Amino acid sequence: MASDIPGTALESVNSIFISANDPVALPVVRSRVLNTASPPEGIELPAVRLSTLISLDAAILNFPSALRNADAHTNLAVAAISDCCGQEPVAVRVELFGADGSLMGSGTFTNAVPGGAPQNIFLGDIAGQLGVQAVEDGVIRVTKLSGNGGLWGETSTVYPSGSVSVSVGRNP
Amino acid sequence: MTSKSRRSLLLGLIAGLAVVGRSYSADAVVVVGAGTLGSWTTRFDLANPDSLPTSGAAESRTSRISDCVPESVSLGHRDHSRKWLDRRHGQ
Repeated sequence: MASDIPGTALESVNSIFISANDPVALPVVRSRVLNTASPPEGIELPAVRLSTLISLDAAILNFPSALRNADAHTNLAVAAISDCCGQEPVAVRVELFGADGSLMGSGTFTNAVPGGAPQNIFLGDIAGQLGVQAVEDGVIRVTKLSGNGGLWGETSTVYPSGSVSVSVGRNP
Repeated sequence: MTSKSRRSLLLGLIAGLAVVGRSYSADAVVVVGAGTLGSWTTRFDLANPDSLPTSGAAESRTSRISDCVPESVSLGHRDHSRKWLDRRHGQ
């Protein structure tokens, strides 16, 4: 079944823009990613004004509380958002630091889709993808290497109980 | 104030209002990390900040967007040229 979120492909993670005819009255938005195989497991996604992200114009995001062990892991979703063009193609460096500040792993990622609109950079179990076996109270730093627009995104840490905590990489 | 300076002031005010109006009307609410992946799907619940009962919901795997999102609201993905790939409402 195709996604019914306009413009998004099946099996994709994207930035969704919600606007109103009357820009003074932008709707209040609650956004939840739900696990249909295990309800009511879900992830609350932060909704932020585009004008706020444009004013932040973030080139670096720092996410606290990165975690990886036998039972829990942290996911990362990042996009570059611009006022002129919506979601932008971007390349980023992702670094994972331990609680003592030591660099535990790093990697470079892009959201470029050949012939298609860019999607989010979505990295499930980011510590595992960076080759880190275990981390507690780590910090994930995302640095823009190329592309237009300000960075925005969130980490979601999934615990064995099914609960999820979400962090943003900068105060909006 | 001379007529020339009054005209300059008026033109400046008009230009300023045009800039403010353009940036304001371009504002939107942005959600990063939404979509559909495996058994995961995204649900949006919307409420009009100023008046009840205009509200609605949309889900990435169902056809409920066109049924439930208020007609004054657009929800979707923007491509690189800033055009809405598909705007359900408020064209």
